[in-house]
Amino acid sequence: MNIDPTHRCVMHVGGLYKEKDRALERFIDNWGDVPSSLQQMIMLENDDKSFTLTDTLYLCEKLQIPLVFDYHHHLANHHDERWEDHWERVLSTWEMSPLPVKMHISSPKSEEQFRAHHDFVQPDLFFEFLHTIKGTVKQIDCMIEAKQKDSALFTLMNHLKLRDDVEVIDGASFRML
Amino acid sequence: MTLVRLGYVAMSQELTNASPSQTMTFKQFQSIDHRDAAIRKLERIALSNLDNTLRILKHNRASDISFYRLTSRLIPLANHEELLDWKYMRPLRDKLREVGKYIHEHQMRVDFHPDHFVLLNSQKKEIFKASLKTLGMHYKLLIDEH
Repeated sequence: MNIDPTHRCVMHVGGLYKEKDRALERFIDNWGDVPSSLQQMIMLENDDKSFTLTDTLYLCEKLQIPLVFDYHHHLANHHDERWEDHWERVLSTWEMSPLPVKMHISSPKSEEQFRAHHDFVQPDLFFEFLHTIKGTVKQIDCMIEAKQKDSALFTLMNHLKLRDDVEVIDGASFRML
Repeated sequence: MTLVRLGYVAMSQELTNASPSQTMTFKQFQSIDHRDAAIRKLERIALSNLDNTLRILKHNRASDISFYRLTSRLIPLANHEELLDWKYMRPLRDKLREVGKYIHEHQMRVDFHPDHFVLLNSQKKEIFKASLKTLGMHYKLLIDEH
């Protein structure tokens, strides 16, 4: 496709294998055996069962890998609930990237099935996030991980018309006010 | 103030018959009499997946969407242990260029999310090696190999 492969593959840290510290250290050991062309492609996201935001940040800072913050995963799995205290560190992992900061956005299906993805994006949680980070970064690309895919995106954009805290730019982007 | 750009994953709910991840199981592959014919079939599926990807990108463009996650399942049975001799990139090259050209022309951000079996911290050498192979496929899809 003739696309610069830098930061094009988002991945989870991997298996927990019973002992987290060792699983993290093994990631670092194995990383040395990954060809640099492939290393360059990778971004890491915090997951909802094993590796939290701070675990993932540890690797990202050590190995210079951009961190894709998954807000839903963070709500399901964290050491420190206050993600905003670590947000500047997340942004720092993107300083060397040719691409804008990226995050994942999805909503819990229900209280009981908290980890499962909802069909659509619930605006309340998303805007809580956006209001916290607004002004800290010029642009943020938000990947919607909802069952209804592009329909979820259009539904969210429709909802924005009712809000007075955003300026809609086009069919898929807006500015926080 | 902060600009927010929205993207979505792989499949469009608005387009019909536009799956970018049509597939074939290894069992179906084996049930085809000639191995060559079966491989041609895989290649046709992969090309159709890329055609559908292009359709999705055009739909995105029409909807102002410039951020999109490509499916990691564009090529059925790529890196399957019984098909390691299959040079799957070669017949896809022209189509990949066409998709890439469209992405460039419209300044889109695309990326991948390799499947969960890609485990870089695995204790098992075979799993780690298979993971590198899968990442290698993503690399080959992205760059333009001559």
